[in-house]
Amino acid sequence: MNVATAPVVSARNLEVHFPLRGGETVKAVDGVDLSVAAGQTFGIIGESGSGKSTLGRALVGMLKPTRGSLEYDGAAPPRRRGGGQGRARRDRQIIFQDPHSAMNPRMTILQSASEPLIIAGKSRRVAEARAVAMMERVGLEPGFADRYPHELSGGQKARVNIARALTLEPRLLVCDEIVAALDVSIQADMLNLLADLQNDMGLTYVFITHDLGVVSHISDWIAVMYLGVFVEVGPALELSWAPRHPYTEALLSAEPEPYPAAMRSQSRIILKGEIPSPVSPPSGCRFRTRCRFAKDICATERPPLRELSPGHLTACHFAEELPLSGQKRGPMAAAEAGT
Amino acid sequence: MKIGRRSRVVLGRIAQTGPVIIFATLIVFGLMHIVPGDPAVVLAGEEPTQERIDEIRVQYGFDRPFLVQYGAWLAKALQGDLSRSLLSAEEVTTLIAQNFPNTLLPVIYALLLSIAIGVPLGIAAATRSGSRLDAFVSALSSVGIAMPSFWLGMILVTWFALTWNWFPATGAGSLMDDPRDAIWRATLPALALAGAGIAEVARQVRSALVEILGSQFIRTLRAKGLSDSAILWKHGLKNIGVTLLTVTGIVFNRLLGATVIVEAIFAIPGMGSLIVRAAINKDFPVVQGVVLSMVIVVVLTNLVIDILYGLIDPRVSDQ
Amino acid sequence: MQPVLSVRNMGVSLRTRQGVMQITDDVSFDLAPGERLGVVGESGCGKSVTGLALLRLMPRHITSVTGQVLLDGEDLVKMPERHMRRVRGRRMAMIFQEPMSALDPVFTVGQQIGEAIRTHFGAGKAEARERAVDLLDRVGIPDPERRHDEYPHQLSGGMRQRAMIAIALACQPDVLIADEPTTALDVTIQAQIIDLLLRLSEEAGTALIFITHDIGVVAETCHRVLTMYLGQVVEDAPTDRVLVRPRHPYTSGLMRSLPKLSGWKEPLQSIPGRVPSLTAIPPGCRFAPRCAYAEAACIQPQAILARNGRRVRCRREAELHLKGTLS
Repeated sequence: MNVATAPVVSARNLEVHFPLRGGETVKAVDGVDLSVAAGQTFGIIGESGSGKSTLGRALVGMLKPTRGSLEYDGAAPPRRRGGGQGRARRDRQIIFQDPHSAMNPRMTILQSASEPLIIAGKSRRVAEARAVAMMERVGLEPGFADRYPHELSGGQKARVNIARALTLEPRLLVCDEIVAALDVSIQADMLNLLADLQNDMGLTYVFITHDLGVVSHISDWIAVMYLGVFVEVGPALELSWAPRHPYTEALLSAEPEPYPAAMRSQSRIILKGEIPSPVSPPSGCRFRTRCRFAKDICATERPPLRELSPGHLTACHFAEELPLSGQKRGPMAAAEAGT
Repeated sequence: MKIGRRSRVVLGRIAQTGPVIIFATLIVFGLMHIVPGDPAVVLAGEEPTQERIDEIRVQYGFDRPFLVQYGAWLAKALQGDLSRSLLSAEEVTTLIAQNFPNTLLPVIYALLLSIAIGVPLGIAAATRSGSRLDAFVSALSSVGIAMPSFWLGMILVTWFALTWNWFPATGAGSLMDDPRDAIWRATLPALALAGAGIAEVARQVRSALVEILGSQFIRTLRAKGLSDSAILWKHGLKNIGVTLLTVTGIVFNRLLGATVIVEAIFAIPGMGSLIVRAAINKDFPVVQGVVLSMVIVVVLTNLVIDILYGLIDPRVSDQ
Repeated sequence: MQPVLSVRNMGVSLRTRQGVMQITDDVSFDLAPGERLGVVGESGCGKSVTGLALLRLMPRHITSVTGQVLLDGEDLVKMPERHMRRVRGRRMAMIFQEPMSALDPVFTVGQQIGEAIRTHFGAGKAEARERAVDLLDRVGIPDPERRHDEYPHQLSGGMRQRAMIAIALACQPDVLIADEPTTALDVTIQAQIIDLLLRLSEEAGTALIFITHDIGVVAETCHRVLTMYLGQVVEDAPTDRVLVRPRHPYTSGLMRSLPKLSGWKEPLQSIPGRVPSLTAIPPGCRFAPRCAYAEAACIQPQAILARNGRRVRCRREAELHLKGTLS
């Protein structure tokens, strides 16, 4: 396969199940297909129990899939040690949400940031030099090197995490809720930084979040995840303007809009009920217990992900007919309405 | 359905006690055989001849293999027959029945003292966390835990019994015949035992309560308009219930162990002195009998505590 | 109409090992009966502390509160503690962010609701139970009879938050302070809770103080918004107006840094610099070091200016043309 065009990561039918005592399993990821092209940002959005964090970990090899396949640049990951496994592992990195617990409080920033390279076998001098360079790149002054995590703010710690992951020069970076705990203006800085780094270093991102505003802003593609499966995948703008799945519509509708009343959508869809447990997801379509369009067939047949328009897939039996509305609100709506 | 699950847990624990009892008694039996000394010699009396000794061996079954001897003892014990002391020929069950109350009284007395004094100390320290009282209680706890009970016992006897004559120095009273006298006599031994108990209880209560009082839900309770005392006594204590139960169990077990020495100091005819005398004289039936009963007591107590856990903390029964 | 709550120059300071730290300063606002006021700001601005201080829930021995907090005319700051207990939960109540850690794990949900009723109304067990079940039903918990006897760990996050709301509203307070009540919840559950709070506050006429960092939530729920920065109120205006045309550069900065669909993949605006520590508060206008419009005179401390039903802490507010969330 032509390496230049092969997706950086692709998954087919990926499943990650966790066995529980008593014979049951948590079906955290239950059949996901995914393909991310180089240089793109693939956003995954979902709520609790969606399995998005588990999926992120599986994509970088932290968790072994129970079933299904994962390919990187068109090839399966090397199985034996020394068969390029080290380099392959470093190619994919993940950073996590809580900047406050991601670093050892007894190590200085420099020690934390240079640790991955040292583990990878580089000398301390080389590792530290690379760490310092990376820290500068993410906007931290050299003076930070000798500080301890408790002396840094949330935003600064998030930057250190990014720098630390980037010292290994990965090609794929999975970001698991990394801006969730940050203030709005710090979040803006962080997203701008990530975009810059992507351009400079040719990174590919898988961006996991629960925040629609963030994911629509930075992603090229968005996948909406519910109880272990993708219910909709499509180009970011198109998915937000015109969702083709009731859950996506509900998520978009639930997101509070910071606009004056006259410019907000008048009706809001309030989903009834709670998110079911991933141990026993509803039969057929998993979303049917909260879906206002559910019919009998939804309980008996699980809708497959199918393509409605190029690149835009949805898992709903009635996708073509449903009158769903997306984010046609706010400033664009005002522009459209000619105000 | 919840009751069913809990009953199953309880039955499971009861079933576990069997192996524990066998294990404990087997080990003790084995240890006695390793230690030098031969009961046949003791029983043979003055100027024993080798024939007489061998005769006794056969008579009492000492010539049989170790495990057979143990098995024989176990079989009889399961039927309630703990046989007789090799020395006094008294029934072991009778000996235990006579001595057990003399052990139990100071132990339970000490346990009650530990709770009655330890809990208020712990609460006082926790509610005034960081103050001098708190530091004082912490220091006192450390001293209490470090201090050996026999040393404390000897100090108590020297001052309160021999010098000031407030309490008798030795002996135990009979709870049946004269309860006041029995309790009075048991006071010094109980105090000697309770030193470490009070310290442990106070320390555990303090640290558990400090943690609870710093929790988020305390803020919700204050926001509801509850008074500080309602928060402490109703919510604080219930939340440390599990800790309190745990430490009660630990202290009880320790007290049973410490009783051996304290009984020696105060000349109390209890289980401790019984087993010491029997062990020295290789009086197997008595030793086995005492160990068996002590193991049963400890296991039962722990079982009761486990059951109480489920009643006190709703999160426990749902696991 | 008389405001139900009137806060005048409230300041909260904490005694720490490094000395006295002034957390909030010169906080003033009025709350009309049934009005919903949003309080927004980033971490460290003092919004949570303000909420806690209104009910005097800050740690007693190290906190000092100056100014006045008038609830129906009575000053809560000077009230003796035993009277304050009758205010808490009865005339003014508060709900918090993390429902799991905010409920006592060893008592049932129903017992905790009933406790509020029994503390303030002296009701008996049976009556308290009946009212608690009714409250659970009103906050939208299905099967309330059964849920009454369940423990917090048996409920989901959304249901626990509903239970907290039930506790807070059990005694029909005049004011409810909500400190980030939906931040820890999934967005679809958040929508349910916000909807519930709106409905209940409208039905009972309860005034709401909604403390949050989420401007969208405030836009949808509140009549008015207070913006706080580094312990001070910097802007106070009706929601719809401030969203379109903020008058303080910080408010404007906050609003412009929100990701919006219209600027897909474009760099986001942010506010230069960082929030200074409370131990190094800038002299004069606290926002000046980061403000694009600062001038020499901003070295002077700035009082809050009132104009046209709005208040702004900026000397240049009348001449600036700032953008809000619509740009």
